[in-house]
Amino acid sequence: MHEVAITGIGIVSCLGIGVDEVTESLRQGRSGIVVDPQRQALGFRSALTGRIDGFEAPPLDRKQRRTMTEFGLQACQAAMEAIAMAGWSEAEVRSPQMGLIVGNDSTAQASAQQVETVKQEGSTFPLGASLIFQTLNSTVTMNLNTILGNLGASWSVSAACASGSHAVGQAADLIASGRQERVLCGGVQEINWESVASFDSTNAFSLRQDAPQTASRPFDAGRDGLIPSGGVAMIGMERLDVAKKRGAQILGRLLSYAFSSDGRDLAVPSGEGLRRCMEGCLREARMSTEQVDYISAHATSTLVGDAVEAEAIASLFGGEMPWVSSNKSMTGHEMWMSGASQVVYALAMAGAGFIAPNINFERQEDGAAPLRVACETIECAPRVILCNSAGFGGTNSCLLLESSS
Amino acid sequence: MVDQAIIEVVHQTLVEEFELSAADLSAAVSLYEDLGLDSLDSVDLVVALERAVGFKIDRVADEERIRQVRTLEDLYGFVQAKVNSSGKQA
Amino acid sequence: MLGSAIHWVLLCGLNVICVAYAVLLTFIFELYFACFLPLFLVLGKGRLDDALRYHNGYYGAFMVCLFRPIIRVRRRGMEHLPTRGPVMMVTNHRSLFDIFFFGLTQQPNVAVLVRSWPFRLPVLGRFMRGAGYIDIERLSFDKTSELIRQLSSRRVSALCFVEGHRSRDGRLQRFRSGAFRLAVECYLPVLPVCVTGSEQLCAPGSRLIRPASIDFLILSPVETASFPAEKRALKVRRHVENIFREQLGE
Repeated sequence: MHEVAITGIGIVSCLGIGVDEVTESLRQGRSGIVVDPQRQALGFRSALTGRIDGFEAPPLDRKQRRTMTEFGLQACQAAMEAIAMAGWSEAEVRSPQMGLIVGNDSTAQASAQQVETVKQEGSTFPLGASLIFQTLNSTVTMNLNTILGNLGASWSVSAACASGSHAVGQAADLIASGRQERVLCGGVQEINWESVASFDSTNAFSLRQDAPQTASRPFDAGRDGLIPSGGVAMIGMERLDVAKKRGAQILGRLLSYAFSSDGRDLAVPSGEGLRRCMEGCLREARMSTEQVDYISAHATSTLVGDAVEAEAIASLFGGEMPWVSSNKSMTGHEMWMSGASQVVYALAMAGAGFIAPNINFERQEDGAAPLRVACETIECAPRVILCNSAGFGGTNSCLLLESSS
Repeated sequence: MVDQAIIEVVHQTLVEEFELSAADLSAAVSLYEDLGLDSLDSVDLVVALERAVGFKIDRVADEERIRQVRTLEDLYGFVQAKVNSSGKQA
Repeated sequence: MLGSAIHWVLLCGLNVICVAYAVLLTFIFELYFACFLPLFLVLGKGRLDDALRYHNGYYGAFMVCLFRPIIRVRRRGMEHLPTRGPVMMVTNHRSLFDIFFFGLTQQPNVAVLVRSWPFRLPVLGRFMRGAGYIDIERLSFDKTSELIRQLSSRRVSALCFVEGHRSRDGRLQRFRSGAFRLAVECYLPVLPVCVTGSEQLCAPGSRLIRPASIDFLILSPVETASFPAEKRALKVRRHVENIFREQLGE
């Protein structure tokens, strides 16, 4: 088995465009949540959402753009950022040893547009020949593959809100097993009302619309639901020996990836599944709980989900509790992207020497399993970081990172 | 004979939809070799022309004729024929 | 006759004042830098080459700003600076002082690709070497590419004067391919920056500087991946060269 190095990261999120901007937002504990007037007008129960400001699509050619969604363009930008940071050459990218694996579980806006056009025009003809490449869940990997020209793996992974994390984990497996030398992996999530309408109707979203920036409050007693968000997070990973040989700047190592599922309920996580996943992840890396410096929690600010995760963490880590925070307090729930963005945020923080706060956290509810929540920015670089991720259907994923800083 | 108005609409559509330069457009130019359109574009082009000119494509009957369009001149002819025939029907 | 003599005397006087002023400014700047450097290296755990690139960038901006009204710069297109990370800046070359204006991009961490001779200059050469500037005459393409990728992984941009050397007549010369091949090879967007008016500042063959107004224009970035893979660098070069010609009305 080979060791896996992380050499590049790229991001477009409601915390900023690019790693530098995002790092600054994380340090300041800035929230990216707003109220979307369009959703209010459409009768959403909650119009809260993460919003990406100031994104300018990369200057691609018309033939490349026509088959790409908005989040596809964001993915292209984040991919280029990650590749430039990794310092991969064109020859290394355009090679059978280079893979591309992205977590994604919807492309609702393009699909809705397809249905609307056909109903309105009474024909499929006006759809043209480009829309099909936007309506597939693998839209990002197929489009990026033609732009990058990599010749190895190229597919997307769907596992609800754990998609991004599983994609990173699978990419690491491909490298560890020696089947690919380097993989660009990550997660994407569209931000639009079409993709979250049926989620809104489950009453899972927060109703604190009068104070959007305080609405997402993972682990806090006053939490009342999650806030949908999105964007793109990309990670460049490669075999450690290959990275060292070319003198690359190594941001960190991916020590282990573990998965598990609850085998029980579609919407209500068991907690036992996530705990099993965390245990498996530590066991695989031959690490003990005391060695973990920081847990980037999945916690999305839902009543049950956060309580169950707190229980799982507390029961596993006991008295030797590392710092815990959920980036979703600032970003909202980046769903398909979130497992990958946690890795990017964690490495950005480690690189800059701090742990971002779990904003809006005041206290846990009575009787909750006690956690050591980072309420404000901790000026200390975490070295070993555990990233938790869980999705509808009870799928769980854990990634253990070791930062080089 | 092809109406000047049709030529103008075709050029305008190509410039707007395919980001081409008006200076590159003339009757003898090949859509594929010279202007760089591809098979996906040929579908989108007909959709755009249908909208711009206001004729109706018969997708099965017209398929072969669309396939035979290689140059801009062929395209003018195709659009003119569609306009003429839809005029007769009306 | 008399008029031109007076003009010449005034110009000489202006140059003497400018040199004295520049020396004073440099002294003040270096004093500040000397205070800041230990903080950056020790407390910030920064690297010396980063510090020297910052030094060079800020020095340029400092001098240009404090040399108003002799040098008036109109800076446009700041919104085109990509936030996503390092870029390959390419620019035309009309005056020795062009490099100073790049401090105005507010992206001071830039490594410049230069030919061999400036490295042999007494003090300047030291600073350039220390700042990790790249000698493109001495190093092979592969080595240069490797260095650029190492720099870009630390979010350092590159800058190249793509005409090779200064234009004698102000007309744009043929662009060299190197910078474009590097941008393609290292996945950096090309950021064209068009500088005009600097030729008035210091006419070729003259040792005197004259008041000038400079137009410093940052154009839209060009993503190299949007060009067909075959002969990509060549196509990017042609495209960027056309952008410059259009901008300069040639």
